Amino acid sequence: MTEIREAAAATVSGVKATDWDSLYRAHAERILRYCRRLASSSDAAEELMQETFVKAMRAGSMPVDPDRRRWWLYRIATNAAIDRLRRERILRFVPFTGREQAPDAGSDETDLVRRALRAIPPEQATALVLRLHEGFAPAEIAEMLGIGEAAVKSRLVRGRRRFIEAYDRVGGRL
Amino acid sequence: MTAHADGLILAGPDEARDPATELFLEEHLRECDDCRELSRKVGRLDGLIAMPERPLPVPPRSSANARPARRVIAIAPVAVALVAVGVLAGTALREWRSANDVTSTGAAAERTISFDIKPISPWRTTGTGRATLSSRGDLVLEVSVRGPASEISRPATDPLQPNFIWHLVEGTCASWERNEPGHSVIARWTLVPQHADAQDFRYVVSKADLDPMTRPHAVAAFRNGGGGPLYACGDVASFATSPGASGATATPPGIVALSDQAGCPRTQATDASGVRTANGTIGIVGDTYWSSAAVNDTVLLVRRGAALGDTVGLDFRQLGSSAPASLVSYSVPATLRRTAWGEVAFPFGVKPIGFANSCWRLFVDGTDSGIVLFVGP
Repeated sequence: MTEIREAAAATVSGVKATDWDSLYRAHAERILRYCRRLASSSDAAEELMQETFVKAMRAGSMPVDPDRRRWWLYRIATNAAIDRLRRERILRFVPFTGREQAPDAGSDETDLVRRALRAIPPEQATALVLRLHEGFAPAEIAEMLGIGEAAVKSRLVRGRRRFIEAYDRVGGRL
Repeated sequence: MTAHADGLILAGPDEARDPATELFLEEHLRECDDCRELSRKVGRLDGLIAMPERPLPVPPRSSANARPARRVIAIAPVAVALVAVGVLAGTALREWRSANDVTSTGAAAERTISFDIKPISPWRTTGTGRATLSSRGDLVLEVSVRGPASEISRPATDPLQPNFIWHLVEGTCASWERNEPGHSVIARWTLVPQHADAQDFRYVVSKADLDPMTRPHAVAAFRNGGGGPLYACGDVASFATSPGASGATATPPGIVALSDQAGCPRTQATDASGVRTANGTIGIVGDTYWSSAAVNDTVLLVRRGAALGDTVGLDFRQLGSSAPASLVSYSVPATLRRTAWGEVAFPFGVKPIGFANSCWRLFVDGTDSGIVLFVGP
């Protein structure tokens, strides 16, 4: 981890179109799956993935180190997902009973997990998905998002607590 | 249950514990039912979140030479590919419609019926459709369905293979679900879906193959091969044009009076490119009607002269009072989407206004666009 921190500043500028193509080929599928866990639909996930690569290209340069390059994309995707989740939360109508609309007949667990993740604070949702679905260690998530490891662990603890409540609200059973 | 045990349990394996703390937790879990239950739930939720997402088809990249060399167009292969696979039903349908523009010769006006594609239990594919009887007498079907990948496409195939064989049938969905005899198949076709879990298409049934279309028909998705089950079906009302028994005035040619609009004057006019618009400056790519079941659909709004980096403020003001909200407001950033109006569009979701039988007038950046949207039953 210390070695990676020391290499943190190394980036490639003047990136050619073919390099962006290579970046896309190498990471698009993973970023898309990450986005799908947080998005309300496949279309929304594709939009988030597209937004991630647009923002990456707007930066004009990319990290040299392959691990940091991957974290860099995840960081962009996470910020985009948080923005989107925040916007969607503003518009969500929750019935006065406090329970959300019952899941459609046949909603599988994956759908319920996605809905519950969208119902908790976006920073906590993304931390849970990065840790549990993407398999990053708390220290890697901290490095990726530019926050302290304690903050990551706090988001995981609070996120788990909120997820348990949210999963019950959307009709899931733990 | 103590707060300390709560925190330890919710931290999961991420928090390093010394042997004394580990021993405390083990003993506590033996004694405390609540904490044991919490520990079980944490284990379960970790497993649920860790469940792998189903693989999604990554949009293929088109040739970089297809676009002029601009820095932002460095991502053109992504954007063009997304359009090429018809990510959004409205975009794909608009392109097909403009490529196959059907205009009235004056001999007979076009007539259009919108319908919902409903799942047939236990299947889950749903969608919307539109049937247009053209002035030439052909039937143009425009359908958009979403559902599990295991229903819409054949599993683990590359390229995608269709699981559905679509039919235009005489009779109702209920009669086909019951396997009632005496109903004929008018046409059948298969088309490769754009995504494993989504299919949008426009299909023309020639006048030569049609019956008078004055009785109920249905658009049905059966399994492709092996006499498979009926997955989803949409009832298409008859195109009979004789005045009703009540003696009500016949529908003027070119205007479709949909009984499900409940008086909502939704925008149907389009410009030459097929974009629905009232003022020529703000438009909707695709339809201005959605079923309330289509709450997860995304709609493309376009604006003349829009550029990447722009953001529009959308105000949806309800006409009538069927929905609990009178105003829905939010902002949407531009995203790369090639449409007839340019390179960018503003996607917004149906969900915030997705109340059954609700009617909305769209204001953009505080200005009335003149566009009215209808969410049906």
